[in-house]
Amino acid sequence: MSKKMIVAVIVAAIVVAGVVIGIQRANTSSSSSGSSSTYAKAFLADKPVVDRLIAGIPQNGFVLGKPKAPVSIVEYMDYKCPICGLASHNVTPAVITDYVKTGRATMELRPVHVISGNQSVTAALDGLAAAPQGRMWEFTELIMRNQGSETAPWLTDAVLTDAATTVGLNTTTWNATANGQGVVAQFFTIQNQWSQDTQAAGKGLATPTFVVHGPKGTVLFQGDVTLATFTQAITTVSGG
Amino acid sequence: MRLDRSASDFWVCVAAAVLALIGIGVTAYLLYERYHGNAPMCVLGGGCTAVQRSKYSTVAGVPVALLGLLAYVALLVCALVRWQVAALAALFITLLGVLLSAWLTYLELDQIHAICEYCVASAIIVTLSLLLTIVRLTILSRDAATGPPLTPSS
Repeated sequence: MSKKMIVAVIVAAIVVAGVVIGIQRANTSSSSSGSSSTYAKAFLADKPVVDRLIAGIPQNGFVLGKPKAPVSIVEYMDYKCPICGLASHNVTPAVITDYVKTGRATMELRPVHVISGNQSVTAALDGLAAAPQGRMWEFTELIMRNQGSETAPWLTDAVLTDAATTVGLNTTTWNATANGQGVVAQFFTIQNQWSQDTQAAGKGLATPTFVVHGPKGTVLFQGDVTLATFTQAITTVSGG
Repeated sequence: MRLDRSASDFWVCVAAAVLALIGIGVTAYLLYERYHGNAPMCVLGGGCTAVQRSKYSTVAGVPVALLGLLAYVALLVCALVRWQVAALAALFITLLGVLLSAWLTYLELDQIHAICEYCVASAIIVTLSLLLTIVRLTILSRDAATGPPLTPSS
């Protein structure tokens, strides 16, 4: 066998490896910027609305609201779930204004994975990674208000990074947190808790799942809900 | 009994085929979990999930696990075909695999800050495959230089 052929194969392998690494570096660096995307503009446009909605409300990790509020509302949501998007548009603002801002309830985001594909998982990890910097709610609301189709691969790294940049996250820290094992552990804990909560209520795994807890008990409901559903649940668990 | 050169080549190919099959198993598992949105079962913590779901887990939109699977399938074919061109193709694939595995390990340590044990397993498999390919090429070169293989001798 010719030594020249062997050397040619070795050189070819090194060149191809260089090309593959170059493609990957180009893709990951472009996914870290992408500030000119349609989503980036939409996020910038929506940011003042989201800022106004949660202005003056304490945010601690996943929880929005005053810690001493008698009622807690937990939302298990998927970033690609269209019904969750509807809730963010139509119901969550009213719940925040009427119950969270007034100190009657706290609202907690718990991202889960139910929509097939990896994008909802990546978004969930990225959403959880925004919590230590106190920006999970802004990050989530911006994405949910600009949601694309459930089946389309719109929730890319570039879009997530745009959202992170728009809400003022330190993206280096955020990326490191999102890729760390702590956030993955949180994600699985939430996924298990969601399973337990729905099972205890005799329901299936569907998003959004809202769990309203107060001194008089717990109410769980799912799907396309209205403000009236929350009002009734909060009244029930508050004891009237 | 001393193995003759052809017998040595045979056993090198068998070992290469076994390694390729293990590699197919590892990458197929990662790919299966990826497309089902599940976390790979990581014995040493959640590093596999962090790596698998990081932005470095694809090249131009193609999952790295899929590239690995295709590479191991090609290596299996190269191990089963006893032509010189198959040995050269195996050299190309395994060297490429070792270089890319080194790059991905660097990313795991420096960028993702998590180690995926399946990726480490694949890196070891492809490195061993490269060593076997070098042995195979050496045997083939010696055969070409000294004529047809010898018969078995004791």
